[in-house]
Amino acid sequence: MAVPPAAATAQVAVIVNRANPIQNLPLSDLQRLYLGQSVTFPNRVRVALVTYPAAEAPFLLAALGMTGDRFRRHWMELVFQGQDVTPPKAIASGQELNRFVAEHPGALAFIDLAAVEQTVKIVTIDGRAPADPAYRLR
Amino acid sequence: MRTLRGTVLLLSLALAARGAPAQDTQIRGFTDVIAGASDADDANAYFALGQYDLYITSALAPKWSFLGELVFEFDEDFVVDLERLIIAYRPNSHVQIAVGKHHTPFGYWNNAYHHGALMQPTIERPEMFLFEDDGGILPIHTTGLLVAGRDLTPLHLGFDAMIGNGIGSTPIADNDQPKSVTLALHSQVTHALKVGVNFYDDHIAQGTPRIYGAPGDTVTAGLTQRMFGGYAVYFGRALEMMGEYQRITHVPTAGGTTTATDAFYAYAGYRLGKFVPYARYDGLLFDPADPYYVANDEHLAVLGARYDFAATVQIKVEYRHRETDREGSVNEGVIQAAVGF
Repeated sequence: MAVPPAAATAQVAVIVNRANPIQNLPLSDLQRLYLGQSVTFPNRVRVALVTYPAAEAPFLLAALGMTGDRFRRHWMELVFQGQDVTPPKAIASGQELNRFVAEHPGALAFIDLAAVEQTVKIVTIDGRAPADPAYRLR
Repeated sequence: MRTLRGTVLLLSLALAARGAPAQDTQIRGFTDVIAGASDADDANAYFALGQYDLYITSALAPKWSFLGELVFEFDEDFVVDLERLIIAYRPNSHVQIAVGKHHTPFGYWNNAYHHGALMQPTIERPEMFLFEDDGGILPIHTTGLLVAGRDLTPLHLGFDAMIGNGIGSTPIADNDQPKSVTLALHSQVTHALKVGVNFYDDHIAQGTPRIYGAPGDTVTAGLTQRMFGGYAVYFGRALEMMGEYQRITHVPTAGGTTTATDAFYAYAGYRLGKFVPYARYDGLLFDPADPYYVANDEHLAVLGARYDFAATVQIKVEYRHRETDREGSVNEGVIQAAVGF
């Protein structure tokens, strides 16, 4: 089911572990989580952030208005400040990323929609699915 | 000799880190190089090394962590300063209890950028947040106990409560019995907007050297220093804005006139890809009768730009116009290369 990054489409999905009860994330919550301003889901489960390099640029621009360099600088700042944060883990392989999310209850990742596997769950953003024309991460 | 001790200390830390991979210990650093010229009397154009900052983070055990920050800088010789040493216990993801030497938790800049020139939006810290050994007027560092919370309630509130050695103290002793108390409340209103307020209270002992005073110029009677302030910081997709203000009052313990000093800065920048032109204005306005500060009102205007070659490499260029009561008007041009590694 998974496709290699080179064949991936530009449409980005946000995924979590299937056991995670959340079905939807407000964009504001997604922003806080990816910026390390919040470190837990609403159900208090600690978040394990993952980035997918092949979809990083469109995701960061759409979700945070940031480039990859600015995003990495931001995380350098958080670590330097001594904050209780775990920087995002970059996983280049779609299959490995799906496996990581399936194995970690607190995982939060973005990936090309076409690379999403059945072992993980897509969450809507502001109530909209990736196929929705008004999806915020286009 | 101090350089040798610093080198030995650094090597010891590095070897300790290598020997304990299970603790997830990491060493990172920042440094910068500056060139500048000014029209001040007898001033030469110059090249200068900035601070060489090494910081170490370590996950010691579940819920326990360590952060240390060492700065190598030139002060008649290269010397090592331990700028931060923090042992933290985090019972959950929202609260921490930490002991050690911290940046005092007032304001935004003082706790966001610490000694990392690469992180700062301008070449130098605002005048109100200059380090103590650079002529700063505020107690930037405090050694003591910090209890802090963050991302609390739907308003995403955070707080800091700290008790520690006060003004005139060292990291290993206090020069009087009263401890400094810092309280701060802040909110991450949106992912781009943060606001906060703070309060600081300390006793300044008789005999404490006055800020900007000549050698031997000391406080002649005990004082209470109280500081109230706040900030608003916005970092959007393109627009960057920061504003901070602190009012510092000194009340003679034995009674007498209360004096007040105002310190502030405002910063604005606009991101155009990797290029950010910016401006900053700083002010320090003293009460001429202040018993702790030797009044020297200052206004500083900065026009500059920075360019990010990568997350870890940056160039900044600035023109500065400074006016102070004592030195008059000075114009300066500065360029800085800052890196993180």
